[in-house]
Order: sequence, then C-alpha cells, then structure tokens
Amino acid sequence: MKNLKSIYFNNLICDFWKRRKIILCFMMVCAAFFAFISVKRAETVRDLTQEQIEEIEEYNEKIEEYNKTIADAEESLALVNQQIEELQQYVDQSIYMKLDGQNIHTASVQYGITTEANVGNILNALVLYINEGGLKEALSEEHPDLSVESWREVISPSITANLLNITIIHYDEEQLKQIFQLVKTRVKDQTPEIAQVQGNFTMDEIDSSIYVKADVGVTNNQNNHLNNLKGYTSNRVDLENKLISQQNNKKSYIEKNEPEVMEARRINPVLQTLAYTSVGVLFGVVLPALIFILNYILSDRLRSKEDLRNANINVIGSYRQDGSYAPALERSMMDLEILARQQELSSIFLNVLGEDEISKKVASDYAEAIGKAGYETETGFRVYDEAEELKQMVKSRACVLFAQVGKNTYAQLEQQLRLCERFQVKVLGCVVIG
Amino acid sequence: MGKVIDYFHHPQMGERIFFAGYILFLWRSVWVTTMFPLSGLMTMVCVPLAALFLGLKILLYDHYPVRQFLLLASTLLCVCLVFLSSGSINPFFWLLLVAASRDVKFEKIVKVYLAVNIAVIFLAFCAASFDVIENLQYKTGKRGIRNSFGIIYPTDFGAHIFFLFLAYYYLKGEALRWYHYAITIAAAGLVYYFCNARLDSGCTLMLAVLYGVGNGIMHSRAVSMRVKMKWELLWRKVGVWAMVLFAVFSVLMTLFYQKDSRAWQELDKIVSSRLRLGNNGIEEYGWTLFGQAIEMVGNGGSTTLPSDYSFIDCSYMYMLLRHGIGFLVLMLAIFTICCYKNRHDQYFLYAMALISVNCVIAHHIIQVEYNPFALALLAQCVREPEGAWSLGHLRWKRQAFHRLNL
Repeated sequence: MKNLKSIYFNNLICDFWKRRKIILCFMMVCAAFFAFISVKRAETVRDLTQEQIEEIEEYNEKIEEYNKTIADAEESLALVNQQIEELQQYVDQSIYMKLDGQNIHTASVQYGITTEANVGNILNALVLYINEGGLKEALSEEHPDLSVESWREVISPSITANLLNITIIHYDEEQLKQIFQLVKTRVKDQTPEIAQVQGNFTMDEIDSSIYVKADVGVTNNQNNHLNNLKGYTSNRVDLENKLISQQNNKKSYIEKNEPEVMEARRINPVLQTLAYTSVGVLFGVVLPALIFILNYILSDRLRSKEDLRNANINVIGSYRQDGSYAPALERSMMDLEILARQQELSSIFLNVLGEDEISKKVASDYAEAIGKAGYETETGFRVYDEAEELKQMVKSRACVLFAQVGKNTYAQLEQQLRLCERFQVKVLGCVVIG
Repeated sequence: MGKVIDYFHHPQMGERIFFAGYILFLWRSVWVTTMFPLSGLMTMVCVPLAALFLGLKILLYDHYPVRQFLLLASTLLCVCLVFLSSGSINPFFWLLLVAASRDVKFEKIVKVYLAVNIAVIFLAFCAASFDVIENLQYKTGKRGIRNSFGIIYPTDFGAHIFFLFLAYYYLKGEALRWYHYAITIAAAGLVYYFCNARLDSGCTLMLAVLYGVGNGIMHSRAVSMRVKMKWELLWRKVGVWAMVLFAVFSVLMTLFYQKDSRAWQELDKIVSSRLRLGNNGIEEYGWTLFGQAIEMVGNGGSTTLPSDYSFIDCSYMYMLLRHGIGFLVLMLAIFTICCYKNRHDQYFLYAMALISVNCVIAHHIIQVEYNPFALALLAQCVREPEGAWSLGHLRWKRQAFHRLNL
C-alpha cells in the first residue's frame, strides 16, 4: 500500500504513446535546432580566411614553444632538487662536514710488516681492505650511531716502506676512540686472510696516539661543499622564477592572443551534423520524459488504471471518456459475482470517491447490474465523513471503489483502503473512471 | 476572480510553488556544472524567478513555530552579513530553499533532485560522447587521462555520481538488493578508472558497504538482538553528530598542519594538498565572523590548468574562511538538527555520515545540485518514527520480549 504511487516505465511508455504526435514534433524541433547549430559551426570553420588560419597556426606554435620551455624548466628543476637533496643530506649527516677545522680529534696508528713475501702486495691488500668496504662490513647494523657510511673520508691509510699508517679524524672524541678500537681489531683480524693469499707475514703495532689538531684544508673542503649547495639553491631559485615567468607569459599570451575561432581542425560536416542531430533527438526524448516523471512525482492525482494494477489492486473495470466500459459491464460483473460468491456476500457496497455526474452515472450502472445479479447494493459518496454510510459499508462486509482519473488523489485512495482495512471490509476491486 | 483565489487556496498550492522554484533553481545549478553553454538569459530568468517562487511559498503558505523561526531568522541575519562582508550570495539561496521546503515531502524533493540531475547529466554525457560539447581530458603524469564526460571537471562528474547513488540509496532503504550494491561497486570502479576521482569513487564504494552492512545487521536473523540494538544506538548517538565531528577534525588538522614536518607532508599528499592550501588560507586571510572576499582559483571548465591554483576544497574550511565562523556554526547546527529530527531513520544518518566524509575533501556542502539533504530540516520526513523503519524496530523488540518471556 505504501508503494501505491510509483514511477513505472510502462506508464511512462504509455504516456509517450498517448502524446506521440506532440513528442515527435518536439523531437524534430530539437533535432532541427541542433542541426542548425552544427551547420553554423561548420560554416564558421569552413569560412576561415587565410589570415585567420595563419593566426591560429602561429598561436599554436607559440603555445607549443611555451609548453616546451615549461617542460624543460620543470625537468631541470626536478634534477636540481635531487642534487640539493643529496648534497643537503651529505652536509647534514656526514662526519666530515661536522668537523671543526680548529679542533679535530685525531687518532693514528703505525704497523710494521715483516715478511719474506712481497711486502708491497700485503700493504696494498690492507689498504684495499680499509678503503673499499671489508672493514665496514656489517658494522652499520651493529653500530648505527657511528655513521659507518661516511668513514671513507675520515679514515686515511698510508704506506711508507714496510709501514702502514692509519689516521682517523672525528668531531667527537668518544666516537673517535670507539672507531679507532674497531679499526684496529678488524685490521688485526684480517691478517690471516691476507696471509693465505699473499704469504705469511707479521704485523706489529709500532705506535698509536690520540690528539687534537687544526687543519685549514678541512675547513676549505667544507666551504667548497657548502658553496656548491649554495650554487644549486640559487640555481633552483632561478629555475623556479623562470618556470613562473614562463607560465605567466603563457597565460597572458593566451589572454591577449587567443584567436576567436580556434577550430582549425578538419571537420566532416556530414558526421558533425549527424552527431548534433542525434543529440537534438536525445533532448527531444529526455525533456518530455523528465516532464512526465516530474508530473508523476509532483501530482497526487490518479493517473491511470495501470498504476493501480501495478500496486496490486484489482481493477474490475474502467469507464472511458466515450461512454463505454472496458471490459464490458457484463464481463466485469462475472468477476464481481465470483468474488462475492467466494466471500459469501449478500450485499456489495459501492464506495464512490467523487460526487460529480459521471461518477454517479457509473455507480448507478454498476448498482443496476449488481442488482440484476441478485446482490443487494448500497452506494456511498462520503464514507470517510458520514457515519451512516460507513455503517452501511461495514454491514455489507465488502465494497467496490470508484475512483476518477485526474480528480481523485492517491492520498484519498490510500485513505479509503486503510479505512476498509481498519473495519475489516473486503475491497473486491476498483472501477476507474476516465 | 473567485477561481483564481480558489486556485491559490488549493491545499497543494504551496508545494507546487515550492517545486516550481526548486526545479528552476536545480536545473540551472546542474546545467552550470556541465560544459553546455550557459546563456545569460537562463541565469537572468531562472534565478530571480526561482527566488520569487520560493519567497512566495514562504510568505503566503508557511508559518513557523518560534524555535524554527528564531533559527531561520538568525541564519538569515548571518547570511545577510555574510553577503555584505564577502559578497557571496550562495548561502542566501541555500537558506531560501531550506526555509521554503517547510511541510513539503522530502521524498518528493529527493525524487525531483534525482530526475533533474539524471536528465541533465545524461544529456551532458551523451553530448560529450558525440563531441557536441567538450569532454575535458586532463593528462596527468601518474594518474593517466582523467575524463570529465561533459561536466566541468572529472571530480565534479565523480561527485555527481556519488550524490546520485546516495540519494537513490536513501530512498530505497531496506528495499536495496545485492544487484544494487553490485552496480554501485561497478560504478565506483568506472569512476576511478575513467576519471581518477579517488574521493568520489571511494565514497561511492563506502556507500555500498555502509548500506549493505547496515541492512545486513538490521534485517538479518543471524545477527543477535544485542548487536542490532548496539548498532542502532551507535547511529542514534554518534551518527547525529557526524558532521560536527568531521568539521572539528578538518579544522583542527588544517590548523595544526606543519609545513616542515615530513609526516604532515605525507598526510597532505594523501589528501591532495588540502591541508597545505587550507593552512595557507588561514595564514593569508585569517578568520572572520561573517566571511570575506577570497579569490579562489580552481581547475575546471578548461584543460589549461591555472599556474596560481589556490582553491580551498574542504567544505568546512571553505565555509570558515569564505563565509565566516558564524555561518559555519549555523550551517552545522542546521545539518545536526536535520540528523536529530531524522534520528529514527538510519538511512538518513548513513547518508549524512557519508556526506560529512566527502565534505572533508570536496566543497559541495551547500550546493543543492549535489547535496539536497539540508532541505530535510523543515520538510516532512521520508520515514516517520511510527512508519516502516520503526515497524521493523518494533518487530525485533517484540521478538526480544518474547524470548525473555515478558
């Protein structure tokens, strides 16, 4: 009952069919209107002068140029950003960049090599071990605080005759000592590995010391790195400015120079007209459909017997505007007789929702036909308001509703159905007028 | 003369006048979001005529209880001050629609919204497909080609799809079936694939999940009464406040955003720079009580992207900066009252919760062409407390009593 009024597509199609002539005319008007627009547009394109075509080409070339410059600037900017990021990371995190040139903590150790094998090869192997990774293997996990990745710059091995000298510099004395100890242990542990390849040798620590030194070279190197960073940053600013200026130039160029007609592309006028006409036809279909749907939604008046059928209400018959019944009255009576017999009724109440002449006539026709079939009838026009009529309907135990299209509302119909339900009056069906 | 007077005294006349104004306004508003050319005549005719109809409805047919009158009067005063301060007329039309919708069936409002929106968007989609209007395609590096399908921007197309499904789901309620959810999930996928509108496809997906889970819990015999009651209680207590919670969350997040923090930057990336732009807006313009004129440079309407993009997309921040603290508070009050009025209707609360999430990223909160739910303030509820929903509610409460032998 709640869904008494809904939008049904078959109702929509019926509406379309009923008003097919108007809708067809509207569709044609829309199609013609869109075709006209299409022709006008095609004419505008076709009628371009040589000067206009040149203007468009020049404009497009210029825009392409701007786009290329902007894309180049964006690419360079991305590269510079990457360079800055990497250098900034180095400046922020490396041990070397944190050194104070006047106060460098330094640790140094000298080893003497004694061997019958080639001493040069052994020393080279040890230097390689210190410089190229073996020394640092697995240390970054064990000692994450020691910044192992930047040791390459602060640990310097050097060779003189059969001597190996290792110098370590650091900004923090405690960490320096820790690294120093680690280096010594690792170098010592590496000697058997080298001996296996290069021949037996002994490595004796001659001397080791920890001290503080000043080194202007370190300060100079640090300044070089910082200057590089400064250079990249100013380069970035230049590129950003260039990008913004190119974007602004492009924007102002578009504002000032965009040709009024921009369609220099080739258009197939037949295809375009066809596309426009199709959209026109769509407008011609969609707009009436929208109007019908809005009418369904907003109007509370009964629209058709199909609406009632779709809401599962038994439509016994309908009275047409030409004065005929569909189906014929006799056929409707057969339905009513069967229903009345099933319910074991002796009388049927005719509940008419309107008091106009047509409603009275249809109710009287039905009353006469039902009377002939051997059932008593009572007719009421204000069942909801008149207590006497309601009593009669309740006494009859069954009723037939008479509703008029375009006059009675769904709310009225729903009210009557609820009333019947409340007083346990069986609704045998509905007769739709109009 | 008598007939004319009778006509104006017809019980449905107020509703008819309201819908005349509403349809005109809605049609023009949806049309503006498409690539169809907008003639000045359409604006000249539709907007004043709509305002006239809505004003007539209020003056001739509406009378408000004291509380409603005070709320509307204070909002009207605020809207006038917003207009003087910021020059923005949109809050006025929004309030006019809200006030004029008194005693109109909200179900009809949503149905009309659906019909008009579907018609215009369908026409725009077809016209763009036939190359009659431009299908704006944005080529983005990582996100591929984003299509607008006849609407001014891909995210606006996505927003239309999300709000249309939302309105449909709200009307359908417990009548939703598995194929509705399947179609919605497919639509969310298509919107993501063709428009790359992450927020709207995500929200459409959430819509299917939330309504599916909600219906699953409330109408399944397998779910215990305790869970059902807790679910309902949760929505009654928390769902009503969803919009306020999300508004406070958005404003605080924007306020505490730190440009230099990597974590905030990552978060900002996820929400497509909403936090940064909002924070810039606060720094540049500051807060006012009744708003200010802020030049919003956004995308849309053309494939040439502006170099100086500065658009505050978050609805709550937009309202705060553009229309002021006063209007934001009143707007939140209106939406919260809508939720409180419909607290018996979980489908309404689901819809409002989803809108609240959507508005954290998108700016459609008072645009009736997207979000018609503010009109529920004075309109007749779709589901009355003693209606279909509470029948279900009573049914399982009765079952609970039966089990407890009460």
